[in-house]
Amino acid sequence: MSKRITLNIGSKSVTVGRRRVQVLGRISCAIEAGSFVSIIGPSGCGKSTLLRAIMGLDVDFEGKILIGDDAVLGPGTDRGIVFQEARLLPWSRVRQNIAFALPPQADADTAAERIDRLIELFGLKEFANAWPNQLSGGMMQRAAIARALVNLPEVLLMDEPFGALDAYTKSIMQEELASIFSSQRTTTVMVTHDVEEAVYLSDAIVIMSGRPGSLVDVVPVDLERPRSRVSDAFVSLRFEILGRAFAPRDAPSEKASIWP
Amino acid sequence: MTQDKLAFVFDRRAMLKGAMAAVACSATSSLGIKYAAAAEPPLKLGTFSVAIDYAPYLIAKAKGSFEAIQAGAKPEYTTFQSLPPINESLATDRIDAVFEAEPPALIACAAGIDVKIVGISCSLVQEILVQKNSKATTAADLKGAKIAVLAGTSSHYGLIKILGNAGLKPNDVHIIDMIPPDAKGAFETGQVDAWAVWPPFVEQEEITGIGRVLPKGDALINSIMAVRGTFAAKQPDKVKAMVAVINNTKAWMIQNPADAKAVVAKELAIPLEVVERAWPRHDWGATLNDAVIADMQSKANFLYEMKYVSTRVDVAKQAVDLSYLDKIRR
Amino acid sequence: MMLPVERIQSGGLHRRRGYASFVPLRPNAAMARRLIRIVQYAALPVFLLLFWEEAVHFSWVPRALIAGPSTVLVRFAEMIGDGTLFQHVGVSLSRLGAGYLIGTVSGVLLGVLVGFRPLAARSVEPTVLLLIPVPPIAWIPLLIILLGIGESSKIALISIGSFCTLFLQAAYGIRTGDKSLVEMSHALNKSDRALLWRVLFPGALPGILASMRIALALSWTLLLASEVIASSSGLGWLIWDSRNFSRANDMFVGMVTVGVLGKLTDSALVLLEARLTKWRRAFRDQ
Repeated sequence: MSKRITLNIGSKSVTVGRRRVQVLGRISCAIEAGSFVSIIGPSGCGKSTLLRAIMGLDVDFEGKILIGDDAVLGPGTDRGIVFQEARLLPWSRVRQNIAFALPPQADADTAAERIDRLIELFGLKEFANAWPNQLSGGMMQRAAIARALVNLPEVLLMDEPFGALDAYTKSIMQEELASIFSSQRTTTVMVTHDVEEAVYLSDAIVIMSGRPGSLVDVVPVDLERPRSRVSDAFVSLRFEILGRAFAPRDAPSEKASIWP
Repeated sequence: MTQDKLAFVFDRRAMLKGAMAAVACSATSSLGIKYAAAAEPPLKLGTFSVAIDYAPYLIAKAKGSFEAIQAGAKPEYTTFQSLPPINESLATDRIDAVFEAEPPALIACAAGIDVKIVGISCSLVQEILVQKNSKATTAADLKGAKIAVLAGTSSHYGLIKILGNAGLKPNDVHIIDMIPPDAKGAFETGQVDAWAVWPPFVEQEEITGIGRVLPKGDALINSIMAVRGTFAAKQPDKVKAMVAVINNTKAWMIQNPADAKAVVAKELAIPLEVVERAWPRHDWGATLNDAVIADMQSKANFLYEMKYVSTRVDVAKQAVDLSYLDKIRR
Repeated sequence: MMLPVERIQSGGLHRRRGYASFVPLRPNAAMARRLIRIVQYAALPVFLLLFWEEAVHFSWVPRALIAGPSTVLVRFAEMIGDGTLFQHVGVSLSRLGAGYLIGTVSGVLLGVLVGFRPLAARSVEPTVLLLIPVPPIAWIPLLIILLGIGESSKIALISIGSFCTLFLQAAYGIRTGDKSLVEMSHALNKSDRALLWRVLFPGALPGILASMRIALALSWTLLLASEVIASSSGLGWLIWDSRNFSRANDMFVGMVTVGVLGKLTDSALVLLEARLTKWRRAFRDQ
């Protein structure tokens, strides 16, 4: 049962050395249940920090984040989390890694059934008993996403999940994720710096500004699924967002040179 | 161009060779001088553990009597804390003469090490220490007791002989093999019930009141002088000189007991009253007569029968060499 | 288009477009290779054995103190035949086993506790770190005073050696656990217990197993040291007593037995390590 995410952040600061640096500014928005939202922005703009706040890994900020009607006070199994690295336990097989996410009181039979279905869904059948050392990057990330979904979370949070993969694998994974999303419709928030990926997968794209991070724009993506990467609408939207999100800096003055 | 200049002024290789040659010459010449001076290696003498029974050696050492034997080099004195290094040193020519009880020398003979017993310092009776408040009054009461002793010494033999005379077999007691320092700790903390050992350890426990001795058994310790066979073959005159020194020292000790005791106490760094108490137990007039040799043979038999060694030694023929004593008497 | 992949027929050396392969012509070629392997393994040991035998035979070393391989072998057979060797081996192995297990288990448990809980570290670690640098052999007098001259002081000495080694390794292994995995487990809301035993401990286990081999070698050394004082059986006692009575053949039987048993126990640990860390050796396509 996917839920709506409400963000109501006043500000968030961190201590760097001896100074307090504000990393997030005012962020106020709602992400509809069952929608796929990407957050893009330049490096250091706080998009990962924002995601970690929703994950519950970093709750030291002014404001409130709601999942459905409940405030986020810490991590929980109602949210599925995928990091940029797969972060599988090297000493457990794929099946046990996926099962690792289950809470201790989970019912064994339903759990086993669900794990089997997920393994099937993610094409991990031949590798269900493999060690992570035996898997390629793409397979490991598939297992990580399966692990994130094993608790049937209300919300799926992904922090640059395909950033470490090669272009070919990345496209394939994006397609698989798109098709899984189409059938599951879990509310998903994905942080990425790849605009094409955002346009391919999302219902809406949130553009964040540089430090302190705040929302610059929210761009809806009304293209029909399954999407074509080469259609005119796709390409033009992609370039438009590219322009808006990554505005070029002022041209460097001719005098400003590092060489004497 | 620069290279030629350098080569002309600074033939580094030639300089290095010259320097090395100079060093080599001076080194060999100085070594040669040193070697020529010490053509004869020093006399190497040794003893085992802390014991009053080799007092003649201690007194001769204190008086410097051994120094006249070897011209130009002072003797080296070593004290061994355990038995194996003694025989190992004898076998590898690192020691020339040892002052110890007979079993270690007999063990060496049995193992094929060339060792000869040429003199005797004294004979004394083996005592067994028990705890002060022990219920044991005779050796027979030691049945089932834990007894500390150093394996391979005459105390080991003495203990078993005394037990045998009291009707006990070695299996009737628990014999624990410990060197005197460890056995002292075990005895004083009550971890062993009895301790078979030699003076001054016996007296130290008596004086501090921790232990007392059981009534005398009839096991003897013979403190002898053993020399390395190869040393005796090469330098028999030195062996004769050493035996003479010991004999003379023994005579002096019998004449001057008070001075002798003082020297012994100083050399061993033990209190004089310990030496006083131990003195009457030692017979400084002992000689290598038939009775003593027979006693040594029974010890050799004991070692063989108990399977501590693998060959039986004929003491009179293989282990004892009376020729040096005979030469002195004449 | 011809691909550079062709069937290789059996027999002889083939070169196709730079691919070479050697296929054995007849069984003899493979056997010859095996024989060469065996020679490579055995050449040095055989040479050393022969040299040892000749050294004793020609008295290059004192024959009273050093026994040659043939004598040692004969004595070995004798001691197995009359059961004395097994008696000594049994006594020594039981002491070793008890001391090693006690030390290893206590070292790992305390090390894990100290690595995981800062409070435990603050209370316990300063004292332990002060005692660890003391060489185990230096504990002997104190152990004998406190525990006597029986089995307990020997087992205690052996366990001190294992404890120190494993404590350090376990604490280190837990502290240097993969932080990204710790965060992932935190994100899954895992309890402290699950975090410790499913994330931190398995990560520390390879280091702990390697340390166990070191601890075992140390335990053998301490076993022999402890058997020199107030013992009447065991391999250490055998070596010491034989030395006392200049029974060179017995002494060498003892030394050889210790060497063989040391190797066997180490191999047992290697097997255990392989079993428990299968996941490490796996790689893609294996």
